[in-house]
Amino acid sequence: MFPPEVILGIFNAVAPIVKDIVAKHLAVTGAMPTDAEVTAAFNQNIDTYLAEGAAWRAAHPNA
Amino acid sequence: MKSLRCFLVLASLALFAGGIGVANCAGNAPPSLSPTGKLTYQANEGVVALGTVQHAAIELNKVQACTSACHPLLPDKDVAVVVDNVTSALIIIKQVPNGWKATIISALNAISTRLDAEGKMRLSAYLGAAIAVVNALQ
Repeated sequence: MFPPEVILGIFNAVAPIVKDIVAKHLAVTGAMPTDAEVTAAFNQNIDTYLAEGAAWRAAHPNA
Repeated sequence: MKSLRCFLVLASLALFAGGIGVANCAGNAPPSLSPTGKLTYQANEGVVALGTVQHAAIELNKVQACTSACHPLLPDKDVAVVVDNVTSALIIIKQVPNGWKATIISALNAISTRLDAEGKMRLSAYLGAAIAVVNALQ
C-alpha cells in the first residue's frame, strides 16, 4: 500500500510521546518534582490534547 | 497490505515499549509527591496514553490513500468518534482526577465499540496498547 519509508514516517509522526516527568525534571533542576509541578504538567497535557481535538473538529465541522 | 501489516507490527511493538515505560514511571512515582500528587502523576500518564490515540487518529486522517480515488487513511467519521470521546473524557478527568482510570477505560471501550471496521483495523494497535498501559498503572 505504501513504501516502508512512508509507513515509518507516519509512525514517527504518531509515535507516543511518553515523557518521564521525574527524569526531565531532574535533568533541568536536579531536584524531585513537587505536587504543584506534576499538577501543572497534568493540566498542560490535558489542555494540549483538548486543543488538538478542537482544532481537528473546527477543520471538520461536518464530520 | 504487507506494508500496512509492517506498520501495525511496528506500532504495536513501539507502543508496547512505551507502555512499559509508562508503567515503570508510574511504579516509580517520585517519593517527593504526596498521595494526591502520586495520583495526579499516574492520571497524567493515563492522559498521555489517551491523547496518543487521538493524535494517531488525527495524523492517520491527514494521510491520503490513493487507489482508484484518494481518501484519508482513517476516515473523518472514525476520527470524529475518537476526538469526541477523548474530549469528553479529558473534560471529566480535569474536573474529577480521582476517576481518571475508569474514565479513560470507558472512553477507550466506547471508541472501540463505535469505530467502523476500517477504523478498528487502523487503530487497533493504538487502542490495545493504550488499554494495556492504563491497566498497568496502579
